[in-house]
Amino acid sequence: MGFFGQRRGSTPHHPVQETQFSGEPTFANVEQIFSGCADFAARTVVSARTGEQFRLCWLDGMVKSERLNDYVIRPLAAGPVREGIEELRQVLEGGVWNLNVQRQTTLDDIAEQLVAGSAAVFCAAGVLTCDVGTEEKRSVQAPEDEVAAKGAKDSFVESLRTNTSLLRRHLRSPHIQIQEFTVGRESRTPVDVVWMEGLTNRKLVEDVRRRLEQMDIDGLLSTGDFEEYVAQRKGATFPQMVFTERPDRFCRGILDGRVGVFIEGIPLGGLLPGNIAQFLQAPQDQMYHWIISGALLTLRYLCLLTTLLLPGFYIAVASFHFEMIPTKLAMSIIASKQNVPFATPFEVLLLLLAFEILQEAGLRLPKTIGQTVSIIGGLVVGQAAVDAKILSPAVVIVVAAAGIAGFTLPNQDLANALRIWRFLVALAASAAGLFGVVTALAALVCHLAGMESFGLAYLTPFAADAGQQVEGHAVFRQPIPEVKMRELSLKPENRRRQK
Amino acid sequence: MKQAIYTFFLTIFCATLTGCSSTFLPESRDITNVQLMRTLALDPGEEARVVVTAAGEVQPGDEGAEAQPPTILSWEAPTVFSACLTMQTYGDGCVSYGHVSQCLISADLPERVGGYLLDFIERDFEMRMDIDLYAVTEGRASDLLTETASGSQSATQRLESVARDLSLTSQGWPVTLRDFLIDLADNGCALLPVAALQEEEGETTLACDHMCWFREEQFGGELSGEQSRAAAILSGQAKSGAVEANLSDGSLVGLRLTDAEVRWQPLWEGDTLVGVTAQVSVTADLAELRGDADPYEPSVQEELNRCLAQTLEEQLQELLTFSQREQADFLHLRRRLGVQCPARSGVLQEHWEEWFSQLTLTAQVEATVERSYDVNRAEVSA
Repeated sequence: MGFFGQRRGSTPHHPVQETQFSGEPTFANVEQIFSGCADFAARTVVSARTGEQFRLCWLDGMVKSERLNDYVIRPLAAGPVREGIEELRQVLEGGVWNLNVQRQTTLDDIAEQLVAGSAAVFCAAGVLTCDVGTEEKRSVQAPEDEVAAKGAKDSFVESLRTNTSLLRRHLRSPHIQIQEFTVGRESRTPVDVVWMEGLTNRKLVEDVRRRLEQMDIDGLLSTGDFEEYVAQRKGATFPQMVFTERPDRFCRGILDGRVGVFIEGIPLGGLLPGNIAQFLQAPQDQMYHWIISGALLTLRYLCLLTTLLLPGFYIAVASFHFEMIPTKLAMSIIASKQNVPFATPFEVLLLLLAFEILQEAGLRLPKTIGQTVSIIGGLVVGQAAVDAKILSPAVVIVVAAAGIAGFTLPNQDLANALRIWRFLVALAASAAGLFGVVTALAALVCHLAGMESFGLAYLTPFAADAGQQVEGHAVFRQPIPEVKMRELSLKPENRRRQK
Repeated sequence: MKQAIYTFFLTIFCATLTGCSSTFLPESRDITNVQLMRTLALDPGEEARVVVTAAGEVQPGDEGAEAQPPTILSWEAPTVFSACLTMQTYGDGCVSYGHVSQCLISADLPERVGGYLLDFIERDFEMRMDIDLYAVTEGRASDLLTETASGSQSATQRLESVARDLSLTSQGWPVTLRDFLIDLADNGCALLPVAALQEEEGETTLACDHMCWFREEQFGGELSGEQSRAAAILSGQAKSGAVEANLSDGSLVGLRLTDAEVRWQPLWEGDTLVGVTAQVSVTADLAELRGDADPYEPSVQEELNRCLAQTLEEQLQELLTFSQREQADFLHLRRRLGVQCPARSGVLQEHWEEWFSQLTLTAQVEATVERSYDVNRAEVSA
């Protein structure tokens, strides 16, 4: 029994079955395919003029009834239906200008079109599918997770085409290229790859395309499915792909020379490749004055170090090197720890764990109850634990400060990775004090230095670019008129950003 | 991933084969079980042994309870190190000397015990070179610790307060172990503030109002309060202080020193140093006037300046003469002259001992009483 479940032998290769449904493209066979489906609907239409019978079928909920009635059933029942499938197709297309009608010859195609929202028309001459799909979707709304006071108030939605339209509205360049792939053996999820012709590195685009084509998964339903398959190195705890709900941030990434990705059903746009500096940049960085945004970015880097190192550092100095602590502070810590039964490392680890549990409980519950849990857990239980001498106030302050510092990070995936490493640093500090902290930090740097995303070193711009200065946005953002060139690390075909 | 996990466990396995014991990792000493010592007192014991007394801080009471008096530990041993080590075995916790910030030394300790006694503090990796040193010339240093420590105040707090207040009178200044060692290494002489017990309204408290000097690690003698202030002025340590003077019409004035700058002027005859003049520029404020003199009269202002200069000049001259008489260059004239004339520092180093006793040491003071506050005058002008 392994940690991830029962161990199995090596999994044999299982290629995708190209022909999923064999047989003639008849109504009976289609009915057989969807025999257990409650939403499968069918009816017969008889032409009033010729008396010819047509069998129609569709999936309820996937089609718009008005379209089906007006653009398919009515022309078939009342219209001048001629013999021959091509003539029939012309009738349907001629009756409705925007109707997409295709002749189908295989069961696979018919089934796929039905699932996509088409109605299938069976007649003696052949099979047609008519696109009468519903367009129910969420409207474009203001971003919820990446709020920016001075930024655009639109955000991506679940509909792929809406997202590409948002992209084109923000970036009205004819050089924008969008290529669509279908990913997922069962989910058949459309995925759009976006880049800017003449700017984005062709090799990067080809690399993304190749990996998408090689992606063999049963269902592409979440960002994790995509990221772990395409972008993520196995064993890497840190994110390697930025997902944003803001079209303006997505467009800036495209203009930098990155490749964008849209996935049907996911209201986010992904940007490849990713490096650590990108995960610390927030949407408002480009909206505020460069000095202010530089100061805020510096603050975020400090918060990154705080959330990662503070608990471990506290354990190290309180358990191994208390000579380092200023005397007054040391005495204050000693006074606060009087009658507390636990040793400092155990106390910190216990509270870190409790903090994670509280955070997780707050996420799982509805918003209003989640807040109540946070208040009860954080304030009431925390205060009670301090009063009962189970925890010392200093440890509560340290863990809370580390937790709050983690919330300043704009990317949740990065914050989650740091949560894992925070525990490792704390454990290392418990074992060996500052020596342990430094060892854990060295391990982290090795881990990050070994990562790359589509040829881009993860520690860019701190440990890449052959020592060349990064223009634009490292720790401190430069004034925009000064940023003449695009990042060298992305190897754009056109490095010149402005005059 | 598997490779990393295997490598990790292989490393752990290999680490167990290296022969490293549990001391491979640093030993944990949780701060919960630590007793922080803040002040050390060194006294002579019997038969050239040394008595080390260590005092902690006042422990704040838990939830409104009364504060606990500071912990005081004491042990007599041949060396400071062994006494400190023995005291670490007291109780179930760990006694730490890493936060010691003051050290009181009985003035007769080096003479009676023999040799240099701060070597342990110098070498110990926990203790710091910025420990403030105080000499105790009357009684035992340990008595200062025990008698000052009470439920609400420790010797440490009192010494910290004393160190802050030393600059008010300029009759002394805090000297760290680092300063002391630098001075000793320079010419074998160094100054230390003297801590003593004082009775105030039935309460015993710790005070420091003058300096003493050491030569070759042995106690040399004490300076009076005026000598101490003169030493503070000549050493550039005087930032404040009070000087009283009588004017010709009998008025008594109180002057507050605000600044003192010293420039050492060597007098050379060929390659021989024959004299040194301390050119001191002092500024002061008129703090109090008792008498009929009008301080805004130019003649009175001139007299004020003259009185202050004369008073200080006498004190400085007296200290310089005393230093020369004792053959103790605790003002470190050679070092100061060497800094001013780097080209001659070699000659000074070579001949200083033979020159020092024959030098003509002079103090010249230029005083300026700059301003005063007069509420009555402000009302008149309004």
